[in-house]
Amino acid sequence: MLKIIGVCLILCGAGGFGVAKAMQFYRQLRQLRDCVSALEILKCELNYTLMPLPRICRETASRVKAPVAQLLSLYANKLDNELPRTKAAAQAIEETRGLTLPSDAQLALLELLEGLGRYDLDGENRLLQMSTHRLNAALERIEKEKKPLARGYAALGLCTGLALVILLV
Amino acid sequence: MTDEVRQALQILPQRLRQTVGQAPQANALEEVRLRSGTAVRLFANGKEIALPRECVTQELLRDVLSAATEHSLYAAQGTMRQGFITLAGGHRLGLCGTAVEKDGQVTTLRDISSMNLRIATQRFGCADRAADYLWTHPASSLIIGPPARGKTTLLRDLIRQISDRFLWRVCVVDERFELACCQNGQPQLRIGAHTDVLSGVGKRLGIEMLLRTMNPQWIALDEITAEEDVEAIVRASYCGVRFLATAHAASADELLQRPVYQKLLQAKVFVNLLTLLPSREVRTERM
Repeated sequence: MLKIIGVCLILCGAGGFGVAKAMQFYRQLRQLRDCVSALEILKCELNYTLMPLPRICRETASRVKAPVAQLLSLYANKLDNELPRTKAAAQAIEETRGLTLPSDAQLALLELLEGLGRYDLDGENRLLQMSTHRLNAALERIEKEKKPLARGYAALGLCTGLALVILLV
Repeated sequence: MTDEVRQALQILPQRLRQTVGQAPQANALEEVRLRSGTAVRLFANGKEIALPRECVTQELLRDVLSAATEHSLYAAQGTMRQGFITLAGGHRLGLCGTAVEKDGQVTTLRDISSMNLRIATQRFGCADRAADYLWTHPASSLIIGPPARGKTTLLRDLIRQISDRFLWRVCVVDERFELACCQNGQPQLRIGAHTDVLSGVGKRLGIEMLLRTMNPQWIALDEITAEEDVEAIVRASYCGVRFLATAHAASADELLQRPVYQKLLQAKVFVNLLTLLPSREVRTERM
């Protein structure tokens, strides 16, 4: 009986790990889409209201979902607390809970937050456009990789579980 | 430190803010001058105080500029090309540097070399005499005086008084956010309960918009400088609205020498002339 329970636990544990890893792709996709939406809102607010950056970031944060909203709020707070842009951007990304963006998208976001507010309206629009382009590229890449890799991770998890069962039992 | 001074100093880095706050006569601070490579200088009660330990660096100027624009150069682009940034509370940061030109127009300033933080104050009651005069002589009035004599301060108090005391409907074209200093739609300075403020718009356009929509008895505006402003004022004066405005000139004679004001005087829009004297008293006369 104990053996059966052990086998089940190992299989569930390993399988769960594989599924969790696979789910990360879906989380990344969702967060990337939220980032792209946030950038669109930022662009509209910036062009229409010309409000200062911390206020625009807060306004945008109130209209997007959790990790991206938290990132923008943190960034706005840090700017208000007299932190230089570069530090504010790096710390906000680091401190945002649950932000699991791929490294290229994270770099694009970091460079965007470091650069926002430095230029005239034309420059800001170009910067936002460039960042949107980079995020969309990451989004497409993850979209392509999603199915085979997610399946692969799930299968790998289960296989590892089975291998452990065979070795241990 | 007064609230106004504390608010204006918010754009300085914390250490410099503390040093300036501890300087003699910090309560009466009028200006903070930052020139690259020299010591920070303060002006209070007409006297200059140097802070030799506080040397102005390019990095400091960059930080002050970033704080003054709330990290958003794009938002201050319109006034930066004219060489200033208006801060919360109506304080003004004057800028000098290298102008960037595009198609014959200044688009921005780069390599900022010096800054002048001018602290705005509201002096309640400074327009008592002028307001009394307007009550007995209700007609368009022009406030004149040389720079830094207190024309805007007088105009602001005059707006407040004719709005609150005489219950006249006043509309303000606050092109540079200096008269009412609106933030989030709320005037930061007291300008009266019967006053409507249109901020951030040019005088010509502002006058037309107010005439069409707000039914003003008086329109107040600061610093008439352009011919198109004069034309708009002349046009609006035929609609029965009265004007309160300021102009850079030490005397009526000096006013006449400037072509832009000659047009205004020929049209006889302004009837009252309020001259700010060196003692900050107001001389009232008919034009």
